[in-house]
Amino acid sequence: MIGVVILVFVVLLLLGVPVAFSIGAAGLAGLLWSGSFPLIVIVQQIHQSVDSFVLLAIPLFIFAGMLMETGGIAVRLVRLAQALIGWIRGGLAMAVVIAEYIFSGISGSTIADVSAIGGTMIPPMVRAGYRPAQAVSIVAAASAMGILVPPCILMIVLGAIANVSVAALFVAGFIPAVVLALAIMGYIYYDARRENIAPPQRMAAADIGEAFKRAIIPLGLPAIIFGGILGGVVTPTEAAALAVVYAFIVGVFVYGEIKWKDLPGIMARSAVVTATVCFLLAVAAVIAWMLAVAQVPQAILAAMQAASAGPISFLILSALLFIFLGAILEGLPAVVILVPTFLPVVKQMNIDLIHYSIVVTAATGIGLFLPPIGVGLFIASAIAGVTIDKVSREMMPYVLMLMIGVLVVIMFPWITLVLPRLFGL
Amino acid sequence: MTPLRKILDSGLEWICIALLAVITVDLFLGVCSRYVLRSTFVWYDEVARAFFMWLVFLGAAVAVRKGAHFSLHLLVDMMPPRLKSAVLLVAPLTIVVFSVTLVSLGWDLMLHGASQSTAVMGMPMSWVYASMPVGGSFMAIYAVLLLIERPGEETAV
Repeated sequence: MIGVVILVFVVLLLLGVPVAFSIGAAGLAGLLWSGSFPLIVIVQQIHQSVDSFVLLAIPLFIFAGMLMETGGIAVRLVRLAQALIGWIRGGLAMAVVIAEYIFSGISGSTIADVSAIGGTMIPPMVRAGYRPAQAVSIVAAASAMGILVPPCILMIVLGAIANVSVAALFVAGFIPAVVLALAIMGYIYYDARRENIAPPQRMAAADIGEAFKRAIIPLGLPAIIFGGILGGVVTPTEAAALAVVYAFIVGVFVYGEIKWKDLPGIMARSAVVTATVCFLLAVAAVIAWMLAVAQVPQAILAAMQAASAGPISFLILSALLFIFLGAILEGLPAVVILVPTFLPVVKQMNIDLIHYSIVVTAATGIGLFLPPIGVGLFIASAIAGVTIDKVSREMMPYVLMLMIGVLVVIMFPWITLVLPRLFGL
Repeated sequence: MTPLRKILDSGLEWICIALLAVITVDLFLGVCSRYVLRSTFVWYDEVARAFFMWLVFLGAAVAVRKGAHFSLHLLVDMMPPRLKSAVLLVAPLTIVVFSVTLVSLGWDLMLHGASQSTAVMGMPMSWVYASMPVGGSFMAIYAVLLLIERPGEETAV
């Protein structure tokens, strides 16, 4: 049964069939082939995986993010990041990393981050003497890191399928994101020294104050989300509803950058993005169920025990697998299909589910930007008008640094677990 | 054909917009009810989940029309033009096959669901399950339209 599923899936995928429908048709083919299960399990699994209060956070975070993107939020955050770090050698590139860290705290979608930060930052970087391909790589690396900064759609999905608290996953992402950011910034500094890029001028104290003042309203959004969640006042889904209301008030009434007539378009786009993500997730659950009834999790567990692999090597293998699949499949379907399959192994090895989920999230983020096929890398290259081949070469050192960052997160579970434990999540 | 098509396209989009609006307002009221009125509306999560199902399946149909479902073009783009135009039929055909499956199985589930109802509001589950056959029908319609309006004959949107 599983052989048929994989074969049909790979063939349809390569022939350009959308991932969701390749998965659906593969599941259908597998069930017809085996003949031992009623086909109705398809719709039962689909319904079960979508009917979840946790997943309701997805449309809301996407909606809030789209409301905030139309505003000049990215510009304001970049200015703030430059005020913080702009005077170091390579400071402009480092400001990209910091701005992306903050911006990810507003938007739940990594692909949206690339467009916003890339569009704002690549032109000034090129003017300051960075090669276009280099600028693209820095934005891409920063966005890959940004997936760890909550809110994050993938974390919501992981929370739903692995039955982990989404609030805990959100909080757990902060420090691993810092680790990855430091890894990227270390290389930026080394590279800037080697190529002798002049440090930007220090901003005047008054300008720094101004940059902070202008960033207060955008920073209000993560403040509400995390204040609410950490204070135990709201669930992540409810925090997302508050985020929509805040972003709406800011966009329409405070900044006036969103007109009433723009609203239907923004909502329709949010609805379509939500539907593509959740439909994929729903259909992928069918295959996850088939892997479970075919006892694939047990087979993997037995194989890991036969190889006497420990938790660290299992985490490293998982990370490599999700980097690779994240590049091919845009991350989400691989997570929905494979994470439930790996869960028995994770539990057997006494790996904390939060730790595992964060490693998977980070790996998927890197996969999105993995040369030469990561979707995010394509978008970033398109913004700068650079070919993917040129970017691929410049991107490799950053991918390496990100992988080292993930390795550090794998080796020291404390990095991930300290904050959730501190807040009793 | 064309005016009918316009009603279908914009009608579905407006329904999705309305669903998203209801979900947002409903969840916001849910939070408010707990902290302002100090008595939680017990029904708000059931309402939101039911509307979410509809949003996912109708939105997925809109996404079929817009080509918004994620797919890989790497291999297809490398093919010679004649092979490519044949291979481009596979995607809409697969969408039709899976959508029709969704309609027929979803219909069965809906009939099953007539005897079940939700815990708080007692809403028949068939109202929720109906999102699958209805959404699946629109996906199939759009996939067939994709097959009819072959690339090349396609006019500007």
